[in-house]
Amino acid sequence: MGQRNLDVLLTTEGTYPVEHGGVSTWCEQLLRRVSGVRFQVMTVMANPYLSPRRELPASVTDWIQVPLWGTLDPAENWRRGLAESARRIRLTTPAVVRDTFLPAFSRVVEACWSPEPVDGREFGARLLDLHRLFAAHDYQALMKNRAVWHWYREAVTERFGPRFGLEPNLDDVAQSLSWLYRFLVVVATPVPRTDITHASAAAFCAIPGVLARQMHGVPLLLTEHGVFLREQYAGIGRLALPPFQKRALLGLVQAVARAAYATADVVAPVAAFNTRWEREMGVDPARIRVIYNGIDPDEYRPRPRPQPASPHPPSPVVVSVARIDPAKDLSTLLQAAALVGRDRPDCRFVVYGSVSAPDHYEELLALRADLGLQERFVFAGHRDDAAAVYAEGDVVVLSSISEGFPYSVVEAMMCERPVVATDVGGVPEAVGSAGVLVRPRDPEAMAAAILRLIADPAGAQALGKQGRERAQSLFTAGKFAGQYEALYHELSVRTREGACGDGS
Amino acid sequence: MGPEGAGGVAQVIARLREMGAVPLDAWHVAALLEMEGWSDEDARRLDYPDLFALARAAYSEAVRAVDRTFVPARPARTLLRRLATDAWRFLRGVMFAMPMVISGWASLAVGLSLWAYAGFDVPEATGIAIAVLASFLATGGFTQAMSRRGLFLISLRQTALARRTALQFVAAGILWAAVAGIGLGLVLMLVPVLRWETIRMALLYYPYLCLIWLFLGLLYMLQREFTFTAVVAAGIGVVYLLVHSPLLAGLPVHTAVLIAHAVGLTWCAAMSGALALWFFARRAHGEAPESGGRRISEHWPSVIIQVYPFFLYGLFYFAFLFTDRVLAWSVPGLSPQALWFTGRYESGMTWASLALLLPMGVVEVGIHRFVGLLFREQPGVVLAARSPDLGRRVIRLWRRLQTGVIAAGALAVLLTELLMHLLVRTGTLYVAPLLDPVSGWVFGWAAVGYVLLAGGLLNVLMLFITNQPWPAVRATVTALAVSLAVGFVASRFWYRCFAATGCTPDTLLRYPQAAAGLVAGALVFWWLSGRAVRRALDGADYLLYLNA
Repeated sequence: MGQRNLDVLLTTEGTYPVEHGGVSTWCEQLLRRVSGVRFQVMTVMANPYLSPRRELPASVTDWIQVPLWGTLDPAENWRRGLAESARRIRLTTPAVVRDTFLPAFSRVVEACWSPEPVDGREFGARLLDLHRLFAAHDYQALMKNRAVWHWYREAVTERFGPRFGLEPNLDDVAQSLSWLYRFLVVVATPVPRTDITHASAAAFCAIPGVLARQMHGVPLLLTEHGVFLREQYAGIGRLALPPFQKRALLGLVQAVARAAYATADVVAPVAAFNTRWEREMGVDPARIRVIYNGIDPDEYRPRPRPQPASPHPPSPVVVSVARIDPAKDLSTLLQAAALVGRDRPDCRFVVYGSVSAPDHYEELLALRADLGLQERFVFAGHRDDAAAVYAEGDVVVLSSISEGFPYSVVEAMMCERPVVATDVGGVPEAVGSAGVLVRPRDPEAMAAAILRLIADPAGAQALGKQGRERAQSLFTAGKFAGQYEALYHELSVRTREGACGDGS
Repeated sequence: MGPEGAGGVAQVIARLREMGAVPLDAWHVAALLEMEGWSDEDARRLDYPDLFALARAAYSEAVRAVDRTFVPARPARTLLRRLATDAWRFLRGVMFAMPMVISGWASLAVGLSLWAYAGFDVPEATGIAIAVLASFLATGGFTQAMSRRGLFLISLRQTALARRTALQFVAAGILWAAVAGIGLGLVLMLVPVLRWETIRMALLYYPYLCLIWLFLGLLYMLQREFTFTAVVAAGIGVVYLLVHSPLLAGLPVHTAVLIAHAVGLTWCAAMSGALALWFFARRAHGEAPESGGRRISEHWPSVIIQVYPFFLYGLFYFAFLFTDRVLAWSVPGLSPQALWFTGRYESGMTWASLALLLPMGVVEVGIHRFVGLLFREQPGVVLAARSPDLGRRVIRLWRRLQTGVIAAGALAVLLTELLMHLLVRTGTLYVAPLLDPVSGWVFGWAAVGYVLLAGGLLNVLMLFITNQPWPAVRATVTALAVSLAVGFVASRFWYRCFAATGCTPDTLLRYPQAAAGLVAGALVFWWLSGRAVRRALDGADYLLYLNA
């Protein structure tokens, strides 16, 4: 290209490279396909003991792990020498905590739980204050100081609790502060100097970008898959947590998301559907550019269904590629399978995907037993050869209640398989008229759609062909990579020209 | 499913109620509706511009409902189950002190133990005693530090890493013990205060003893108290059987004992190492293997910063435990060389160690009660506005537990006395403390000292569990200093106070009084650690965060 390589910091949260799933697939595509870029990958993850699910591509020069839990002292993450650690501990005197750290910390906490929606820019600036203090001191000695606890306990008792109409107990106080202690590890993590920060969610992993934007004017590109904030509302709402703790967690999550939205130079959702939340959170539509996910048409090419060596016509198979997770609503698929079974008792269902929520998996197994589907409904685990998996199905189904822009739908289309999917998130944008959309949590509608396609192989085949045509014209890896390459260069040129030096 | 017709807000609220959801704000309502398949189109059908507008309208109606649905889960446990758990923990606590008791008792009862033999002459026995002391000092810090880090990693279900880290601690301990051993050897040889027979025995036993402490430390870390005790008991059995077996029959008894000790100690170290590896493997079974080609390794500077107070504690604790013996062995005029081991003193200590068994059982039960009350039962009950209540409740428990430990100690001493009388009356055993004034004095002092020590150990465990090692280190160092000072004065000068009664300096009232140092040190240890616990519990709410 004749140009120097761009350095991009790609930040992820609980996804690439330590878990499978849509975001990880997206990261792989980005890292392997976008040329002229050297990546550093930073992963906010549950603990330091997770391993990459696959080898990192050659374009990745460094993998920075930011484990939130799993350490006795988060300083383990930063692997400093003994002398440096001792120096920091010495510097972190009670006076520093009281006079410098506590005021900065309290501004962050007050912002999280203010009755008004927090100003994202302002919150980003407060995070930068904390980052600078963390950069020079010992994290543990700052955060675990008794004065911090006392201030916080009083603040919860006198202000935050009453604001929510709640009387928090000590567990509420200790839990919520310990979350801050864990999540602020991201703020304390040194940010490598790059040309661009690319965050894969408006979540904690966007914080390094928010900091780099303010410190060095590094442009922040924010890609949104599912809308993090919305997923957290649904997820935290479902947790068996006391009400104060739910509110505390959501307050923090929302403040961080707003800081990400307010700071990002470009917000690039994977589907236009996401822009609703982004606009709701105050993102100027001029900063939003939808970039659809893309896949390799050669890898996902139509293949014939493997034929069993049997004289009878093969019984129909319905395939679903989805993690075992409440968001995928596989219980609706199970119920639909039971309904399909009334007309087509020979129809089999196979779900390919790793278990991300073991408790939920147990519930699904119990439901499967209740419905008497043990023989006809199989949880087959994760498979790396997704392209071959689609070939096994006469129909491919996605039953999610929440989606960004699901790969499994586009992949199935590219493989010429007819798709039945729920009308959520970016699914309609992917499917267009080349598949069947049903309302979420509606087993009857789903079963009816499946039965229709099974009963009409010619129609199903035509729908499959239509799907491949649509995917080939709109959702290829080449197109996806080209759009990001262009965007990276546009952002880097903007930086060089100083067009966004003031962060506006 | 979909919303139809008018009264959108009412529909939303009805749906939320069906879902059992209490919204936290308008966006929560929007998120919940989206997850139910509602879209902007549905909102428009209900005369709202979009779903967010509908959600806002619904939330301002629903806002009066505050989520009070949360009911903390309380595991219902029957009284019987609780008692059974307590009994099991009590036994584990007893087992913790058992190896020391068993090995002391074996030498009293059959004249043989893992490293002791009644037939050794005093210079030789002194050498072994020096080896025991030096090996504890060399390895005590490593075993404590290893436990701290290893238990943390095990709690994270990172067994593979825990095993690796523990073995690295063992390796570092061996290396250090070797360096320290060579240093000790050089000092003993260059400073001519001990006879060669003493030095030779010290250097012979020291490496074996270092190895068994380090490997037994692995079992201790894995909380395998029963295995730990069984390994030591079996080791003593091996020594006994070998000495009395035809295998070594042709050899002089002295040589046979040396060989048997070498085999017994090696057996103990190897067994504890092998069993520890087996327990590690069993624990790792079912955990995700370290796949993905990534072997996670410790960042040692961080680990060192975390564990070094525990290392210091281990070091000073063992120094404190042996101070009185060293003072007793070195009373001027008692011995022909700088240190002179005395079996009479040791038998007093062995009998006194029985006083530790019951209190250690109470300590083990107590520490679980403490953790349960402080971290599990109370935080969800005590309102933040009434935070001092937490401290008051936990302090009340702590007082009860201390009373329990001391009472159990008193009972144990009483039972030991009874046992001694019984044995003497039936003529089963020569019971030194009843028949020999030196042993009698040592037993009296040390029994009191050990009971206080158990009380102090309860405090130290509480401090460790609440992540406050420093007060424990300070208490231990002070106890060491006090034990040294009091023991010194008691063993050298007290007899003068009794001169009028006709007691002479070189009889019963000199070296056994070193054990008074143990009592004074243990009292200080108990009191200082107790004061630290008390202070920490005054602000017990902070401990919830400190440990989160």
